[in-house]
Amino acid sequence: MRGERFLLVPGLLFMALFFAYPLASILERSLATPGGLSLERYLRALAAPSYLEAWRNSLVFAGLSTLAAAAGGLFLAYWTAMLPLRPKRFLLSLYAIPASLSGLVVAFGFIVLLGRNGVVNQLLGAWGLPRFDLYSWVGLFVVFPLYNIPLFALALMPLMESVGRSLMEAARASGATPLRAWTGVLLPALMPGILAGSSIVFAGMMGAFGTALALTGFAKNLLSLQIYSLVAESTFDLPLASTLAVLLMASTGVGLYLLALWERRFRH
Amino acid sequence: MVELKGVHKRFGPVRAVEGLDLRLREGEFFTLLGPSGCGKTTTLRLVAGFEAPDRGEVLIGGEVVNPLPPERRPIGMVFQHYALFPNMTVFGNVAFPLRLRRLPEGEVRRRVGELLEMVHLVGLEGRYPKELSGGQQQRVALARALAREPKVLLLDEPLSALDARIREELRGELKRLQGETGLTTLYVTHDQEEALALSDRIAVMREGRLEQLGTPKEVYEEPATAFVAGFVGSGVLVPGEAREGLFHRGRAWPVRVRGEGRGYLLLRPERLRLDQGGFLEGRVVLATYLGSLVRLEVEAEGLFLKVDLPPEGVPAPGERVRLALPPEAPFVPEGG
Repeated sequence: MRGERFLLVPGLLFMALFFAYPLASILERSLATPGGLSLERYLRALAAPSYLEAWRNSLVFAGLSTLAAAAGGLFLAYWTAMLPLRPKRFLLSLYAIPASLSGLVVAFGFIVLLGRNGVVNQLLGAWGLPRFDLYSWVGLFVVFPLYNIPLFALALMPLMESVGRSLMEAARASGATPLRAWTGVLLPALMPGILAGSSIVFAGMMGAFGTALALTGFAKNLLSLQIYSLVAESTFDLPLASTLAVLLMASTGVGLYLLALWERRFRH
Repeated sequence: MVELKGVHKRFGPVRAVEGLDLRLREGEFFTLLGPSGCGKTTTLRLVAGFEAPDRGEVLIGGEVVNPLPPERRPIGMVFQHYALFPNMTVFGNVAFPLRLRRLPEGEVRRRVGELLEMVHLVGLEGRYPKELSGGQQQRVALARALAREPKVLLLDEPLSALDARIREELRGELKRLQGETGLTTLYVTHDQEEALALSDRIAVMREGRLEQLGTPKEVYEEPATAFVAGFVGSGVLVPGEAREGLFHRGRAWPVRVRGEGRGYLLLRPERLRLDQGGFLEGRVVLATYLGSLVRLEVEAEGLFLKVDLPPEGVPAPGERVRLALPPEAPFVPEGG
């Protein structure tokens, strides 16, 4: 039995090297000043209106996008779970694609579809309808949820497959309309999976910047973009970037913790 | 009470149900029996409203229910894997159909109490499904199905996920409950023993069609086709011919049969005996101890016959024995 502990060593080493060490060094950088460790940069970041705004934008944007992705992903998962085995397997392999693509590729995909000269806008223009502006908050708010819907559906799939059809049918055989079956039975029963999926999507969107960068450059004030600009642009300031990164991680962590607390209430 | 008229249903290229006509009598325990893929579950789901027939009519209580969704049909349903609502207690599960009908809370309490008493679950109201055994979960599911006061109770292999002892216990309960409530019941199973023990009538299905319809005794003792003979009970089909009231296989066998022409004699293991003066001579190939009896496999005239014997003084494999045939036995005509 004691020998089994050594099996943990490679995993722990890996985590130490690629997770704990970078995290500690970011934290250290954010606190280090010529006069020793201090919270000075945190105070400065929290006092700066533009960083506060970025923080708030990121939270609101990631939160709303998660809600939208959850709503879409819920129905996608339900619909997929009802399909026969073969098309279902095929679709599930497709759902893994958006999440595994680089944010830039996703952005270019949406530019082709929804950009100024994209397919959708050419159609809208031809019909004399107002054009869709991909390079705006609304644009981001369409793109982020859309490409996270399949990811959310994937996260919810195991639970949906095990209870989706049977609970729906049991509720309807008990006299519930489809709407009552959804609200009274299916949603509460799926809640652990919904919250788990939301955690994955929320964490991803808090940190996502590739897609936003490709679509709107630095025009939209998001915390992830602020960090990126402090690391890669002329405003280069690694300690401040570290500070913002810690703030980003902390707020994501708090969000995930709240979701986990909420999830526990549904574990009967 | 429940009636299917010329019902067809296909799923893509698969013909699940083909021209099925059935009529359940009021208060009857009616079983659809057959191997997986025979269309029995599809038939049940057509009655429930989870599938729509391609052709034909489904009637409940004399009313055509084809256009009605499940929630508007007078049904109660029990599923193979219970399908209890995990976020609700036992009380909440049974109360669910009652609350949907907007009964006053006092009435809901009273009804749930009655139902839980019926299924012997009083005291477990506050438990969640996870905290119950499989048998208890299925009792909750049964109470929930009865709560709607349905005209017909639909049971989809409700015992098949339970282990043997609980299955038998719940089988008895089911029979008792059905008798007490007098509820018309449509039961789906692949387990012939269950079907024989529970049913007033059994419909044996095969490849979407009705193979035989009859009482358990009829289905067991007078199988209409070789398929039914093979599926219900155990036994060996001996190919031969019925002529002048006797079975012939080369020569006349001392077994009375009904019918005429080529076909199969069904020899059930419990109808064969070892007898010094028996008609067939054979050799014991295998003896399987089954607790209350021993099943012998005997090779005789190129046939492998099964014989059930009390477990005392059973001949060993290799011994020569003589088998006495029953004076009469089921005969299944060829092509049936």
